[in-house]
Amino acid sequence: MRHAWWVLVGIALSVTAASAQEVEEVAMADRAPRFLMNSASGPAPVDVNRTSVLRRRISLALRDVTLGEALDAIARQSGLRLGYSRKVVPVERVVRLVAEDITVAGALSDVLFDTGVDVFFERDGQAAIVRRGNVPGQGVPGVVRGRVMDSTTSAPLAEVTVYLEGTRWRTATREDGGFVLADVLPGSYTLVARRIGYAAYRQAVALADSETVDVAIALSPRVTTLDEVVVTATGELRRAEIANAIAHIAADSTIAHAPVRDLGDLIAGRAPGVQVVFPNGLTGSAPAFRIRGLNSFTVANDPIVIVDGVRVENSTANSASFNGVLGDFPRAGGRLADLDPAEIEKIDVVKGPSAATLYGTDAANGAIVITTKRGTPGPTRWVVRTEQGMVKPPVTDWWTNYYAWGHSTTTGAVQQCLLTAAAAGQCVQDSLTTFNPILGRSSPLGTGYRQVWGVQVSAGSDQLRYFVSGDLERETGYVKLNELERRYLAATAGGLGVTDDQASVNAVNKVNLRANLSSRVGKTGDVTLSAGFVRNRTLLPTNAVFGVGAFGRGTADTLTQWFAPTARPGGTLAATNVEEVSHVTGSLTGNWRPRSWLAAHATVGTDISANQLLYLLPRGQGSATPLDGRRLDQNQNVALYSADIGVTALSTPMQSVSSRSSVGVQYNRRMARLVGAVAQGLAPGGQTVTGAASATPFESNIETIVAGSYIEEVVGYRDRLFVTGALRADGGSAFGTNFETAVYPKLSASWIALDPGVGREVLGLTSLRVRIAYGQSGVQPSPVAALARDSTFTAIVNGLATNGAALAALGNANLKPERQVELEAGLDADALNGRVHVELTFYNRQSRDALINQPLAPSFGLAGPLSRQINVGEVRNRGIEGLLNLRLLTGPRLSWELTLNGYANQNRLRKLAPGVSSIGTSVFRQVPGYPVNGMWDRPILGYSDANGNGIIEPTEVTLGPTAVYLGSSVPTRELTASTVIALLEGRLRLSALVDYRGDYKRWNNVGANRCFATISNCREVNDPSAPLDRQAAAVAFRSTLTWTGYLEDGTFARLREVSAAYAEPRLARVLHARAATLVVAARNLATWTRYSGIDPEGTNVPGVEAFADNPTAPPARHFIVRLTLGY
Amino acid sequence: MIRLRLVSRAVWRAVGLQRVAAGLLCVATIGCDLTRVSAPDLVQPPDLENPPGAAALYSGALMLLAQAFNGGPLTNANSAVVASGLLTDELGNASGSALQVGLDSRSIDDGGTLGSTSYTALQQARVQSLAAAQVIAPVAPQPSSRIGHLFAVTAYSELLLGEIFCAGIPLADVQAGAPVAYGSSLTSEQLFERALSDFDSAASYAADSVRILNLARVGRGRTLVNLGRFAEAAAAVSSLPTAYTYVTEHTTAVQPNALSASFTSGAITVSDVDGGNGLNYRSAGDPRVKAAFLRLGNDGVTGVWALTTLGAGQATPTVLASGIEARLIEAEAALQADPNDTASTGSGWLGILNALRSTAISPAMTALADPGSPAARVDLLFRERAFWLYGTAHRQGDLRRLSRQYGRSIESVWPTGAYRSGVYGTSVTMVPNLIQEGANPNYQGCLDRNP
Repeated sequence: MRHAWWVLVGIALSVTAASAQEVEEVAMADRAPRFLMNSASGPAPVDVNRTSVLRRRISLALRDVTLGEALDAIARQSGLRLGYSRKVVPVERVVRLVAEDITVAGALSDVLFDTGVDVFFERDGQAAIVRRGNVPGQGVPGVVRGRVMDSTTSAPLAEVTVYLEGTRWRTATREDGGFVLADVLPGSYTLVARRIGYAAYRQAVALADSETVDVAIALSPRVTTLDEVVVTATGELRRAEIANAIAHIAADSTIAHAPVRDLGDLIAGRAPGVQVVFPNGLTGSAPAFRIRGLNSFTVANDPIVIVDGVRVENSTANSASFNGVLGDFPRAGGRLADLDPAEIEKIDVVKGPSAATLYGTDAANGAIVITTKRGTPGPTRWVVRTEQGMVKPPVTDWWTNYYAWGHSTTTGAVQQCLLTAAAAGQCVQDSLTTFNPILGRSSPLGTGYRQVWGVQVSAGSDQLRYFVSGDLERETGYVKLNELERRYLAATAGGLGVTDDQASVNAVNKVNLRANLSSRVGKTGDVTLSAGFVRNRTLLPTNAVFGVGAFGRGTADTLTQWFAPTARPGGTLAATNVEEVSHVTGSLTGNWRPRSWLAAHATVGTDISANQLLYLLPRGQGSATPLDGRRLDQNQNVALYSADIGVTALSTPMQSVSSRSSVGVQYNRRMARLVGAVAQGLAPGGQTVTGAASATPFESNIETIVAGSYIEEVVGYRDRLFVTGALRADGGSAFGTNFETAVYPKLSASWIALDPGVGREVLGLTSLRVRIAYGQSGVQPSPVAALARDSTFTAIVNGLATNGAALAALGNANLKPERQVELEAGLDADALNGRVHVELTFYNRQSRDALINQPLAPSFGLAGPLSRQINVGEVRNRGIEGLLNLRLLTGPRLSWELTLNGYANQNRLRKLAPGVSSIGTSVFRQVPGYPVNGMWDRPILGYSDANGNGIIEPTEVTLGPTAVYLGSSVPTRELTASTVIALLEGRLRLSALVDYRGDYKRWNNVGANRCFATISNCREVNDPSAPLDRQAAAVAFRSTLTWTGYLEDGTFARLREVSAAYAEPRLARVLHARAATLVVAARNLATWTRYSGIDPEGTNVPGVEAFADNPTAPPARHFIVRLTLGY
Repeated sequence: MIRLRLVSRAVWRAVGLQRVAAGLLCVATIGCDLTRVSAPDLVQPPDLENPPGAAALYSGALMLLAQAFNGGPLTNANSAVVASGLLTDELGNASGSALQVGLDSRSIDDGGTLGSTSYTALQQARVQSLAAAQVIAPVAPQPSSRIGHLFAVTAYSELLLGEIFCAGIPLADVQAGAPVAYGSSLTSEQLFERALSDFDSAASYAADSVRILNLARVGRGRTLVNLGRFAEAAAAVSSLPTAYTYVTEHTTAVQPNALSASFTSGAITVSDVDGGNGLNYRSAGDPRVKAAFLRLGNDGVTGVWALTTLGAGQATPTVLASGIEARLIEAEAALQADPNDTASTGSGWLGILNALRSTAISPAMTALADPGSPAARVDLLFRERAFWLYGTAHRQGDLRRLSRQYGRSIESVWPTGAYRSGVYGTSVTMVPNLIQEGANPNYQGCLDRNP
C-alpha cells in the first residue's frame, strides 16, 4: 500500500514536475530566440531539423566575450550571414559559451537567450536578428545607407545597383559610391549590391522602427559570377539560375579602356564561341557574327539582335547585285554599323537553341541582347569625351608584281619570258624587274583620321531617371587618292571636277542620339522609354583598287603598273558609293509588380531604317567599258515591329523549393521595301538616272512575321539547384500552308555544387556550378520559298511588247522552319578565393529539317531557279568553349589579370536531299561528312624538278584525279588572350588583346590569278628563284585550273587591341571635373600568319559565307587618344 | 486617380476586352492570321487564272519557245539553232569558249556539261506552254487557236528535243499546286510520238486560225518524217501554200536573234566544208545562204562569216515552219516512193525541188538535173534541204536521219577528221546534264546516243 502511495506520490510529483518542466520550457522558449521565415501567411517557424545551416555543427570557446563577438564567431564558423542592428541586439552584453559539436541553432539560442529577439531567415539562407514581434514590412520606416567601394583598390564605385531583395527599395550609388534607401519599413532584409564586373554582394540587414542602418560594401572584381544578372526572354535572371553559357560583356567598363569603335570591336575576343567576321578594313563596313559555327548554307546564319527588348535589323550586307552594270559594286555597310558602343551598358550573347528557345523562330543562330545605358538616381552627371585618332594601312607585304624580261629564241623579239616558256626553250630570260603599285607614286594608301565627340548626361531620383547621349563621329579610311591621282581624275572629269565625295573616297559621318527615360508608376510599376537615332553617311569605295594593283605589270611603266591604264586609283576609285541612313530604334517597356510574387512586363517597339544608296560613276570617268557613266539610286526601308508581353509568378510550394512561372506572347514583324533604278549611259553632264540611255527599275517587298507564345517554369531547390522547363510555340509567315505551328521545347538544370557564399573550399575550389541544357529553336525558310509563283517579263508577240508570265517556282506547302537541337553541358568554377575562374562548355548542336535547296530536274521546265527549299538536311556543330580568368596579382598598387577564352568547333554536313550526293562543283562544296562550304579541289600529290633546271614544269607536277576535301573555309578554332595590368591604385590600366583563329583555308583568288594567262605577274611564274612548291601551285593552276596551291592556311594571330588608360585626378582638377580618364590605344598593330595574300581575314562580299580573297582591303591600324571627363 | 481609372476602363471597353483576350489567345494558339503577310512582288498561279493572266502565260510560252529555238539572254550559244548548227556542218566556232569548242568538234561528254542550257530552255518551253494551255482553256477559251498554238509550242519543243538530244529524254507533268510527276526516259520514237499527239491536239484547237493550223501541219509532217512515215508526212503538209511561214519573233532588247548576236559578238561563223563532209555553204555562192566576212572571231584566229540575210540583225525573225519545208517533205516522200524518178519537173521529188528553186526565191535559181543514182538523189535532196532550211535547226535531224533512215555511216556525213585543236569527236547528239536531270529519280541518262 505504502508502495502504492509512493507510487501515487511519485506519479503526482512526476506530473507536477512534468508540468513545471513544461511551464519552464514554455518560459524558456519565450526567452529564447525563435527561428522564423517569411511565408505567404506571415512569419512561420523554421524547421530547425531540416535547415542545414541551423543543423550545422560548430565548436565554440567563448569566454566572457561580447555578444557581438559571439555572433561574429558563430557566423564565421557556420558560414551564416547574419545581419542585426545594434539597437536591437545588446551587442555589448557579455556572454559565455564553451561547446563542442553544437548546432548553430543551439549556439544562437544560447547567446541570444533573453535578448528579446528572433532570427529571421531569407530563402537563400541568410538571416537577420530582429526585435521580437517585429515582422518585416510593418512599423515606422527607417533608412539603409552606405558606401560601395572596390575591394582591391578601395576606390568608390558609382552606378552600383543596390536594393533590398524582393522589395521595391532599389537605388544606384553616386559617384562617391554612396547610396540611400529611404522609407524602408522595419524588418529583416537581404541587401544586394551588383555591378557588372564585380561579384554580387549580399548582406542581411535588420531594421528597427525609425532606424538608420549604415553599411560599408566592398565589391570584389569578377569576370563573371553566378550572381550576375542576365537578360533573358522572360526577364532578368541570375546567372546561377540559367543553365546555359551566356557570354556577358560589360560594355561600359570595356569601352572605358579599350579601343572600341563598333559592335564588332566590342564583341571580338570577349565571348567564347562567337566569331566576329570583319568584312574588310574599310571605314564604315559592318561586322557579322557567327555563333558556334555555320548551321546552314541555304538561309542566313546571322544571330538576331535585340536592343532594349526590340528586334533590330541585323543585315550585314546589301543584297543587291548590279555587277552587270556597275562593275565591282561596293556593298553597303549593314545596319549593325549603326550601333554606338558608347550607348551600350551590357551585352548578353545567347549562343544557341538551348538558350534561345524562348526567343522563338529565327533565334536558332543565337541572339545578341543589348541593353543601353540608364540613368541612375542622384545628381546630374555629365560625361564628355573626345576621341582623336589616325587610321593607317597595315604594315603588310602588299603584292609585288614581277616581270621577267626576255627574248624569243626564234624571233629574238623582246618579250615576257615566263619560267615555263623558258624551260620549253621558247625564250631566254634576260632580267627580272619588280614593282609594287600599291606602294608606288599612285598609291591608294594614306592616313585617315578619326574624331569622336560625345556627351552623356544622366540623373534621376527614385521616381524618374534619364540618360541622354549624343555622339558625333567622323572617320576617314586609309584608302585615299593622292595628289597625282586627283589630278588624273580631274583630267578625266572634264569640267565636272573632282567632287567632295570622290576626294573623300572612304569616310563615315555619323550622329548618334539616344534618350532613355525610366519612371516609376505608382508603387508597383515602372515604365522605360528608350529611343535611339542614328544618321549615318558612309562613303564606301570598291576593294577592287587592290586587285588592279595586284594585276599590274612588274614594271614602273605608268601605263602598265596598274591592271589597265584607266584602272589606276583615279579610275577605279572614281565611282562614289554613298549610303545615307536614318535609323530609329524605340521601345517602351512597362513593368508591373502588383504583388511581391507577381510581375508582368510588356515591351513594344520598332526599329526603322531608311537607307538610300547612291552610286555614281560620271561619264568619261572610271575604268568600266564603255566610259558612258553609271548610276544607282536605291531606297531601302526596313521596319521591324516587336511586341513582347509576359507574366511571371513566384511561389514557394515548399519551404526549400521556389518556383518561377512565366508565360508570354511575342510578335515580330519585318517589312523590307527596296525600290530604285540602275542606269547606264548617263546623259552628258548628267548625274542622275533621268536621261540615261538605259535604266532598269527594280522593286522588292519582303515581309516576314513570327508570332509565338511561351511558357517557362523554373524550379529552385534551396537556391542551389535550378531546373527549367519551357515550351515555345510559333507561327511563321514563311511556313508552308500545310505546316502551322512549330513547337520548341527546352529543359535545363543548373546545380551550384559549391556555394561561394558558404566560404568553404573543396579541392581548392571556392565555387562550382554544373549545368546542362537542352533546347530547340528554329530558322524561318526564305520568305517566299513556300509559295508557288510565276515570273513575269516582257514578251514580243505579233511585233508588240506585251506581258509574259511563266511558272517559276513550285513552292513547298510542307515547308517548315529549320529546327536546331542543342545539348550543352558545362561548369563554372572559382578557385583560390576567386583568383582563378573557369568556365567550360561542351555543346552538340544539330540542324534537323535543315533547309536544303533541293535540285529540280530541268525537265520540270520551271522558268526560275531549278531548286526549291525542303526540310531534309542535317548539319551538326559540336565543340567546346572555355574561359579562364586568372587574377595573378591583386592589390591596390598592382593588379594583373589574364583572361583566355576560346573555342574549337567541328562542323559537319550530315545529310542532303535524297539522291543528292553533293552540291557544288567548284571549290566550295556541300558534301555529307564534311564541313558546310568545305573547300575541295584536286590535290597536288607531288612535284619534283626532274630535269634539274630549277623550274617546275607541267609534267613535273602530279595531281590527284578527282577533287578531295582540303579544309574548312571558316576558322574552327579561336583563342583570345587578354590581359589587364592595373597600377597606381587602379588609376593606370594597361591592357592588350591577342586573337588567334586557326585551322581553316583561305582561297587566295588574287594570288592564283596573278599567275594566270595575261596577268602572269606573280613571282612563281617569273622568278627562277621562287620556291618550287609555289611554282608547282602556279603550274597546277595554269595548266588545269586547280586552285589547291592557293587554298592556303589562313591561320593567324592578331594583336587586336593594346591600350593604356589613366585616371588623372590633377587633370580633372584643372578642368574642374570630378574625374578625367585619358586612354591611348591602338588596334590591329600586328598580325602573324603564313597566308601569302595581303591579309587572312575579311571578305569583299559581306554576308556571303563562302568567299574568296578577291581581294579585300585589309584591317586598318587605328591609333586612338581618348579623353573622358566626368562632371 | 478615380478619373484615371474611369478613363482606363473606358479605353479598356473601347478596345474591347474580348478582342484583346481573343488576340492573346490567338497569339498563344497560333491559329489565326497574325502571320499573314502581303507579297506584292509575287505573282502566284491563282493571280493568273483570268483572261489577262492567261494572255500573259500564252505570250510567255511563245517567248520561251523563241528563246529556246534561237535566242534570249541565256541561250545564245545554247539555242537550238546555234548549238545544233555548231554540232553539224552549218556553223563553226570562232570563240575560245569550251562549250562551243565541244559542240563544234562533236566532243560532247556523257555528263552533258555542254549544252545543258539548250535542254533546259526547250523543257521550259514545253512545260510552260502546256501549263498555259491548262490555264487558258477554262478562263479564255476563245479563240481556241491560242490553245492550239500552245499545243504546237509543246509539240515543237518535244520535236526539237527528239532531234537534237540523245534518246532517253524525260517529260514531266508539272502543274502549280499539284505534286510533281516525274517523267521517265523516253526513246526517240516515243518522244516523236508524243510530239505527234500534241500536234494533233494543236490542230484540233486551231480550226479558227489557218496560220496555227498550218504550223501544226508542218510540225506534224516533220515529226512523221522523223518517224519514217514519209507518205503520212506528205499528206499532212499537202494543203500548205509554199509561201507560208511561221517565225519566232526577236528584238534586240528582249529576245535577240541568237544567230545574229553570235555572229556580231565574234562567237560563230558560217562554215564551209566543215570537217571535210560539210557542205560548202560559203563557197557555193548559193543565194539561200549568203555570207560575208564580218570580223575576226573571239579566238583571235577564226574569221567570222556572217549571214547577210539577217538584215534586221538581232531583231530578225527566225523561220520555225514554212511552206518550203512542206514542199521538201513532199519531195522526200516522193523520193521514198520512187527512188529512181529522174524527172526534173512535175510532182516527183526533183520536180518539187525545181519548182521551189523557180518560185520560192527571187531571182529564180537554175533547175537541178537528176544526179543519176538513188544515193546521189538523196544527197541532192538533203543538200537542198540544208540550203533551204539553213539556220533553222533542221540540219542535225537531217544528218541523223541520213544514218538512221538512209544507212549512211556517220563518218560519211558528219564533220570528221582533224579539228583545229585535235580531232572531231563522235557525237551526233547533245546530252542533258546528268547531274541536273539526275534530280529526276526516273532519269536513266541517255538510253543511246545513236543517230
